Amino acid sequence: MPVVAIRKFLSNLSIQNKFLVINLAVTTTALSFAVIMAVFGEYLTKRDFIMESLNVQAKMVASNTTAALVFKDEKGAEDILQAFISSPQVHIAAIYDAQGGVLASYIRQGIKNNISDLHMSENDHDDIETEIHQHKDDSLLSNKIHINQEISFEGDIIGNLFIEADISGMYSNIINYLIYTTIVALIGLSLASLLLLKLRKSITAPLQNLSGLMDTVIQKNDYSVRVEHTTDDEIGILSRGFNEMLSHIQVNDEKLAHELSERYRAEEHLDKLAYYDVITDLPNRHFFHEHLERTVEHAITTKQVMALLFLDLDNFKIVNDTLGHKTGDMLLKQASSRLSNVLRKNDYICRIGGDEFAIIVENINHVDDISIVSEKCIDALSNPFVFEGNNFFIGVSIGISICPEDATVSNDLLVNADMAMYEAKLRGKNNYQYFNKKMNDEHSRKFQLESDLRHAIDKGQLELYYQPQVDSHDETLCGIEALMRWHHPEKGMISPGEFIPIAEETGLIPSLGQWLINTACEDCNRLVKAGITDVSIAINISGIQIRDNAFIDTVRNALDTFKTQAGLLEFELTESILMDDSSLVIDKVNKLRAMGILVAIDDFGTGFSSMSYLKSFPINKLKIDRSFISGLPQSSEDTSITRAIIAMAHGMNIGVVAEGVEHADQIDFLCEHDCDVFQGYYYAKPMPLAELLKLYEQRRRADGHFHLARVNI
Amino acid sequence: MKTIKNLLLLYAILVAQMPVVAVADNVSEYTIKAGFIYNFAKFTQWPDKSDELKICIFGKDPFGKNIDKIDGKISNGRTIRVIRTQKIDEVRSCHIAFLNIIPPERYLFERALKKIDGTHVLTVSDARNVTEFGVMIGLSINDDKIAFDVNHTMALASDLEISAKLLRLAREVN
Repeated sequence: MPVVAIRKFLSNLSIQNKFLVINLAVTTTALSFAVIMAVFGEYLTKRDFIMESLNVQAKMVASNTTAALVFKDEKGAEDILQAFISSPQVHIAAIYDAQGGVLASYIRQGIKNNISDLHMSENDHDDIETEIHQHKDDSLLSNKIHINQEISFEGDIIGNLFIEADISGMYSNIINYLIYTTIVALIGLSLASLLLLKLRKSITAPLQNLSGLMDTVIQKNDYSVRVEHTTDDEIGILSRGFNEMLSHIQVNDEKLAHELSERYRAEEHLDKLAYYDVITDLPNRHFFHEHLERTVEHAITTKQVMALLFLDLDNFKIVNDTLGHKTGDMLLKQASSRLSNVLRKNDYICRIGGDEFAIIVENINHVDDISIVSEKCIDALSNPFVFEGNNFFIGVSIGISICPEDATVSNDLLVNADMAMYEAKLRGKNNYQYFNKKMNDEHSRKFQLESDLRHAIDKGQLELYYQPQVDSHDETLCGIEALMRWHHPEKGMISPGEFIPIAEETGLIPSLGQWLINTACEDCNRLVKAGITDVSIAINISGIQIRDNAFIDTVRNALDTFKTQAGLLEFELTESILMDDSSLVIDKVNKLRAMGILVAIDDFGTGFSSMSYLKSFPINKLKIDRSFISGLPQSSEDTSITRAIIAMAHGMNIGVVAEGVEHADQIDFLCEHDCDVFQGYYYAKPMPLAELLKLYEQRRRADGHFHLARVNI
Repeated sequence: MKTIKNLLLLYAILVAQMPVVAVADNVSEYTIKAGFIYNFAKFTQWPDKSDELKICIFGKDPFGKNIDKIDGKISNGRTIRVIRTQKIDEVRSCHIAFLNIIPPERYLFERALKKIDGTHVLTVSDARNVTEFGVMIGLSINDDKIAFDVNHTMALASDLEISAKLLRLAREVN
């Protein structure tokens, strides 16, 4: 496609050259057209002129031939036709009579034409006739002109004069004319081009000016420059538009710069938010992790010792709960500023969440340095915090982990410090503990149990064992204590002493407690079904469980679901439970009692408080702690305490249970002092329900007594 | 219509059917000569404005009926009258006079021409060299073709205008 090629070619040219090419093309086309038209016009004019003169000649000759025709004078006619010698373009002339016969003919010397042949066969009139008629119409561009002139005389047509003229001779004239006009056109074209070169500057110069300015703008990013526009044409409009655009860009650029700086400020602020704690102004957890990582790496590469101190404020929760978050925040602020004040310049303190802080201590020369830092921290928080005129004492538990001794990875270091902090909490708070390997082992076992315990109920790994309680008067079965057993698939049997604290820590107590109550109810029904209708099941209720809001509902649901007689359930609570938040617990205990459930105090005698609380509770039983029973009957202290407890309980109309009974002389002592119920290996160890039922059946058939001596188990 | 028809007929006789001005066997010499005389009338201008154009045959008539065919024809607006006469005086009023003088002696022609001197008669003869004797047109036979000579001087002296076209056809003009 030529048009496409031309467009492509044009698009690659500069406007200046485009302008030149287009103008030259247009001018050339116009001039070519003019030349062609002029030459053609010249041709037509010349041809017309020749035609005209030939016609005149023909008329003259025709009129001259009348006599020859009339007299049939061939010679005379031929003589007349010789007149055409002076007309070089006439090649052939012939005179025909009225019948079409050739009277005379003229053929120019050197011209051969079939007319001469026709002349030879002059009898063949038809051919000549045809010849004439054939030449009546000459095309405009034909070399030959044919003229057929009638010859009339006295009003009659007496013959015809036929002329054939060759006008090719005029072509040399035409060619000369063509050359002439072409030269003129070329001169015109050159003049036009010269003019164009002069004039195009007026168009391209402003454009070049514009594009040059554009380059300046692009290279220097300077939007303040402007085009000088002097013309009012399209380029002037373009220049004005360009200036306006630049103004807009300039304004927008300034706006953008302003916006960017605003955004930068905002980002800086956000950055600070992201890395700093708003309340304490200390670096936050995010910052801490990054910094710890860097510090650990640095310590390892430079073979220096660093330590991580994990701090957890003691009793912060109480302040936060009783005085509100605002005060809690103020406390955190004051605590952090106190801590910051006692730290060295290079020590790094971060708040990593809630009431937890972390201190990174670098470049340690001696382990004692860490202890000094820890003690300073504890000292700093030992003075009371004063809010609303009240003194609040909070302590801090600190766990310490040392790199590279304890860990070489930041995360391990943190976990270890956390474990050590936990240890500090366990050791009575407000102290510091160094991490040791044992902690890690304990921790990992605990961690494993913790995760396994979550699935223990669903997987049916938990089971209730029951230890019989025997009536002291007739040694018959009067109750059983439900004791939880966890059959761990790998670690074997795990005692409640190990997994209950874990359940307490991990919030599994409510679901564990629910399972315990439901299972106990279910088993109670099985006992009744087996004909054992007067045996109560004692269940240990933990403090967390009884404080759980849903506890009473859980119990009620269990009773409703299993249609268990409430009087057959006995909830054992420890002394410590009854002493904390007594009003809440009293309320719960009253509700249990109202349902008909019996309540016993477990491990009685181990608590510190006075006996006065006993009056507040509607207690049914006291269980003397096994530590007192084990000393019977030799230890005077234990015998006196046991006697006192039994006496007090009886004085309050409360039953007494002796736990951990293992020897006959213990039984004798307890019987002597009217203890109501015995429980211990002397009679039976805890056992699954099925086993218990089997044993019961055996004993019932024997004599109903549960005495070990009497029944060999 | 009749005139045109007759004219065409004459044309047919004079030209078409004798396409060659040769003296063919079957066409009489005087038929052709009569045609010549007729055509001479057409190429000649006389000073008078008479309606008639008198063609006189002086002496013995060699044409016979052949020439009667042109009697009554129109030439240049004049009606042709063929008149045969033996009296030279009568010739004076003629427009064309065919002089058949026997013997064709020079002095006889000169005497006859003298008699019609001062008139406007186009004199024609087919005697040999008659133009030298003062006759205006002399007919002769050359190679079986009829040709003619013209004594233009004589014609001009008699105020006759012979067309150049005719003169061009003449074998000899003086």
